Amino acid sequence: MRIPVAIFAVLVALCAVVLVLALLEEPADSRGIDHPEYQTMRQGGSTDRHDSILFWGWLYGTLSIVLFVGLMALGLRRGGKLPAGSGPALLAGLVLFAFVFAMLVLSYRAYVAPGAERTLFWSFPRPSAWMLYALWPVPAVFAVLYMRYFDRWVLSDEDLAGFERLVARSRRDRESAEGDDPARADGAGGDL
Amino acid sequence: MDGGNVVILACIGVYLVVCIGVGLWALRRTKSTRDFFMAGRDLGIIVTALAVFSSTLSGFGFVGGPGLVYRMGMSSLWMVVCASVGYVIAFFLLGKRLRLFAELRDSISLPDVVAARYRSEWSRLLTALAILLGVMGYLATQILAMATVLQDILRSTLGSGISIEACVAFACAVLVFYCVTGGIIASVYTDLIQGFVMMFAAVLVLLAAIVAIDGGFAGMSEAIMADDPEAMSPWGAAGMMNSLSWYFVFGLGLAGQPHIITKMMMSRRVKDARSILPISLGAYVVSALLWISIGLVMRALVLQGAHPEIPGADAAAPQFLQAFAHPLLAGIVFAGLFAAIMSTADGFLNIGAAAVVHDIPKFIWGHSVKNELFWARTWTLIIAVAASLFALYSGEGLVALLGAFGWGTFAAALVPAVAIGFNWKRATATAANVAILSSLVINFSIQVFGLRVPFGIDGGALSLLVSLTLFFGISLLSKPPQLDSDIAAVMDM
Repeated sequence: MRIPVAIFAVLVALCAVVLVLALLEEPADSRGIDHPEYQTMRQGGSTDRHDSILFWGWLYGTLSIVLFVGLMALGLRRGGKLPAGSGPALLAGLVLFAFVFAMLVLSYRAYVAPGAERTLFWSFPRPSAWMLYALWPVPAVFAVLYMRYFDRWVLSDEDLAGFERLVARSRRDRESAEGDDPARADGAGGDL
Repeated sequence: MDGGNVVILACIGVYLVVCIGVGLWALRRTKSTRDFFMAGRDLGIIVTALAVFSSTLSGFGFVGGPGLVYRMGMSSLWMVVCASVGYVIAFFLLGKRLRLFAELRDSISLPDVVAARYRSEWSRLLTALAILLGVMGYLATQILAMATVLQDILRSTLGSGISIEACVAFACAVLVFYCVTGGIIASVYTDLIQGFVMMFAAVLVLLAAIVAIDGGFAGMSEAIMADDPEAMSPWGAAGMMNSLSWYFVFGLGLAGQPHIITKMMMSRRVKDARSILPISLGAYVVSALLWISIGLVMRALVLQGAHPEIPGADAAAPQFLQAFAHPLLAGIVFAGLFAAIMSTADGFLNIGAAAVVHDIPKFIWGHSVKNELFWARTWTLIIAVAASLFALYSGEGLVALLGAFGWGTFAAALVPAVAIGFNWKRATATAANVAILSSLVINFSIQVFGLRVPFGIDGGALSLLVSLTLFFGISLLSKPPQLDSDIAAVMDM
């Protein structure tokens, strides 16, 4: 499937999730409640307030992640195609990204289960630890790919040489056009 | 006079003097509008990287961010966590393409490149108008925030009241001085200093936060969980959909922030993008430690009774610094706060002036104004004064409304038209124009009419989702557009 069509399908699916959410009954504490003692704070409320939307929230988050990686793929395309090797690498990154998010949601479900033992991992509750120590750094995988394969996937020396020729030609064309049109000679560039 | 506040004031004073010095230095390097708006496209890797990062982290990150964390627990950390994927998406989509377009057409503004890509002057105008609308709101909030902080410090130091008008005038004068004299060159080199100040301040604050509470971060988590387990869950008090929609709009939206992405057009070499990404990303992660640490620690301290309740959530950072940090550290952090505000504000001034002096005249007359450099300086001053007056006299509600409107509007308007459209030949000018218009209408409607989006989904996220869907849908249903051959060639690279 072509990448833009796939991205459009993901966007339509995201819109559908939002529409489904609009049809669900919203618990009174879904956006939190005022703290009973401190006016400047909000509390989350009951631990079951996300029961009806946990699946839809997971789907929304996962589709967002698919969209993010899909847009990275769109940015890497050259002449309508992905550079060799970039597709599987992005797919692997996407699977890892989506896995970490799924673990965060599952971990949250265990955290709010009745009678759950809420242990800390590196000073944070486990679902928040997934967020801070895994979901936050996961995109670094894509940053490493960008740096490591920049010459092959993003801009090769050949591309650069072609671009320099293009710029030279474009500049010549523009200068001759400006020479024909005095009004344009005052445009951007060297006026003082 | 309080000795601690004198130290704080001295740190801010030194920082402001440095900014003025950079402005004077940059004045000699600014010889054309290309220098004024694009720094001659001659910035090195470190300067560009720190300019990109420090434009991202505004005063909101130093005051509003910790305040939100204090108020609602982990929810607002999604605005921080998203930055890693946000930078990556922005560089994958624009790191190369924007720089190539800028050099190819010798562009000096984002609307310039948009007009070239879509062969549409209407696209230029709509982009320029979206930028101007966002700039006025954003800039007004930044100036007001800077003046409010300055007023607080002066009041505690001198013991007498100083009017907010005087503080706005002073704060604005320094900002305008270096922006008018040195243009974007002054902005990016002050960004460099501001970036280092912010990182240094963030690391020191993290250390101060760890020792401020019994049991360190583990003790902090336990104290907050004992009061409300949901506040320490990943969704915090605001809930799952609110948090995830922030992840969506702040992550994806970074690629549509004009004051950030225009910096990508200024690097010396196209290939520098490869090194700029990790440096910007790393610098942001370090600075975000302040956002995370102060808010949570302050919430735990108040819950434990180790600190009285603060007057408002936004006071979390200043109160923490006054109570738990050495005056010198507090001084560095306050200088960091000024740095965060000014590094964002100078970027806005620059793109706002470009929209007025360069893009709108090009739409009307087909060419930019004569003596463009002179008018660029003049309009930088006018925009700063207008934003200051707007901040002071339009009413708090309107400033807050336009401030909140900023990120979501830029995201919803410019991610489709710029970030996607520059990578997809099939994208049409009509789709870009509809995406920009829809973003303005939806964002304004949600803010002005107070529309309630289900489960707290952020209005900006909804607007971005709709504008992206419209952009792809209209483009896929339309005939493929004609592109200029050089633009098409660059899009194939």
